[in-house]
Amino acid sequence: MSSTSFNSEPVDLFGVKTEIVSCGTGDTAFLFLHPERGLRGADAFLRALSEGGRVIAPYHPGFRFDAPNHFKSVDDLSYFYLDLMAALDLRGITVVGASLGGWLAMEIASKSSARIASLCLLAPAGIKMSGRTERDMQDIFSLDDKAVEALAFCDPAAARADAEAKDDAALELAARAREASARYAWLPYMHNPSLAHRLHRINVPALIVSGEQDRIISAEFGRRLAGKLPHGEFAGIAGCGHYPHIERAETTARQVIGWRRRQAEAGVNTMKGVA
Amino acid sequence: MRVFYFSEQSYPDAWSLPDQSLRITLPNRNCDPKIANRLYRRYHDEWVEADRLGFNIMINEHHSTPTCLSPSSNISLAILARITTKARLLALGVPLANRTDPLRVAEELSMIDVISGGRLEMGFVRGVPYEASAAVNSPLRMMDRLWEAHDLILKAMTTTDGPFPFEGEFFNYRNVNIWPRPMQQPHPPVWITSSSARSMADTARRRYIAATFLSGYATKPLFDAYRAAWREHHVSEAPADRLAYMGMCAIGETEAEARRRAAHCVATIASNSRVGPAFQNPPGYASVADNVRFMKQGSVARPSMTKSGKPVILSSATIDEYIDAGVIFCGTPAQVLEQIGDFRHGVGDFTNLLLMLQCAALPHDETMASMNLFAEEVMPHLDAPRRGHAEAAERFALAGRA
Repeated sequence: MSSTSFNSEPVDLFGVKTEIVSCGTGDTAFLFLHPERGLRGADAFLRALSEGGRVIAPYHPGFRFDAPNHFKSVDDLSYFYLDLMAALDLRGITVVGASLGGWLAMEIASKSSARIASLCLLAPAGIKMSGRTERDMQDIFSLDDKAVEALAFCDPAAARADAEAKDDAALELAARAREASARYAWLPYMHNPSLAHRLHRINVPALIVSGEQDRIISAEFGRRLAGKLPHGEFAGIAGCGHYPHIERAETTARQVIGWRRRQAEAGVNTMKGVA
Repeated sequence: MRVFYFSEQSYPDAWSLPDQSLRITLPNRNCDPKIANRLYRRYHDEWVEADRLGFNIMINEHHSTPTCLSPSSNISLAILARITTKARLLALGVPLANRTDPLRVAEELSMIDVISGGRLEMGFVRGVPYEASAAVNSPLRMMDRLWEAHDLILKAMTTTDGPFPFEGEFFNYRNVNIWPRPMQQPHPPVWITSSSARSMADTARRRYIAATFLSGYATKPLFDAYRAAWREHHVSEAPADRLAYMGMCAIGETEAEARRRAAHCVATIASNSRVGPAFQNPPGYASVADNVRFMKQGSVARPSMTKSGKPVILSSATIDEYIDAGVIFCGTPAQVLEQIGDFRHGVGDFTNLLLMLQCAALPHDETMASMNLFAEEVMPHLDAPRRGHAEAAERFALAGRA
């Protein structure tokens, strides 16, 4: 493991306060949008990803400090990120979103992909494909934490390692993550009915990566979603559950870096994408 | 002292189901509608008797549970409005934070107030944590939603000059103009349940009646918070009729009989924790700081307190601890009178006593016996606690029943 260190900076953008964790050097290449559990367990992945360029990983408003009352949906969050990308003048980045963060990445890109070169969605939530009395994603709000952990990982040891004793700061982040997830995804549960009708607007290449043993959102869901995106591709990771960035941190990071490189090369050839 | 008779209208057969949660997830194939029909008729008959005996009546609502067959306070109230004649009718309450359509609540409550001839007491509650999963609304910011729904309901009830728009943060209406308007003017009395000093203060500021449930001697700091806020906002002492306490009551001819009946109270308290762990504390229901504390202590239990200040964990205490805590008033009429007198002395005076006299599987004949004993031997003496207590004890001794 490299010894890359993390920086944390507070952000206050139009009255919305949060914090950005970053690692690596140079121009920002990756924007990581964390899942419903926040950044817990993401260190190894972010470090590995920074081999391919600077990574920034903001806490979504509500996951680090209180969110404003009017932040009620992933749609609201997506406008915060459009503002943030403009404020940081990010260009040609790859947005990497996991689960709830994958949903958020699609919301952002469906509004504007002017600053985005490509997307990499790790077991994304966000749209509804199943029938009215079924769910595409396990109802994590009806399961206790231990049950969610047990389902989230293919290897129970990964769940155990992740649930190690926590200090007050970690407990606070866990409490905030649970509350903020409910703020954005309680109902409709983990999807925006409008997003399915806006997928055609996501005009950048998007790689969907799912753990083949994902019991929170099936890999089949990821495969089908890739087929609905204008420039979607799918890659499964064997022996992996719902959080590839935690359970297969190195593999997933390599995959994302490779994907970004391939798209950049293709982009140069077709003069597509980034300014 | 106004005494409100309260039964949760339970479905007792469900208690004996092995290893089952009694809330949210218990499949309703365990509910036999024929049994439920008999239960409703029985509970309605008991209300009629309570009315005749001089009780006021409190009802409530819960969802997805056999502990309470009333998923709509307003339906229970509507029945009461027509089958009782004197009792004040208290819903405690309508879970406003879980209501998607508070205008409908305003319409229904006005209708109930008119049908009952102006006997409605309008209780608004936030809703218990575990039912957030059965409700449509988010478990976040439930108190904010409650107060906005309240604002709409009160405005609807007190506006008499035609439609107004309501464009709030949570609720939007184009033309609000309810028919009928309530009989009590300007509106039926408002009650709010509180379990925190902050919410007590919000209620005091509005001069509403504040009620606490099963908080035992831990009620004192809550009532004190109400009294302090009242002093601050209204520059006077809070009248005792602004405060209410809900306790359970197991009363009997003998102490042994009362204690047998108290087993049903204990079963009811225990049912609160017979719920899947994920539902006990939904995200956003408690503050982040409280959640950190829950995670460290490994439970969400809020302790009550005995007279001597000893913490009592609801759901795992003994009958004696519940009695010491003022959670269950239990014993002969003289003992019950003494316990209530002590409790009023301990937490400061309040004049609304909400009594759960029928719990869990307590059968009809025992419910009637309890109700009669309380009405005859306790109720008349509540307004002069000390003298009344001595008199009652004396009469009981004379009757050879003590």
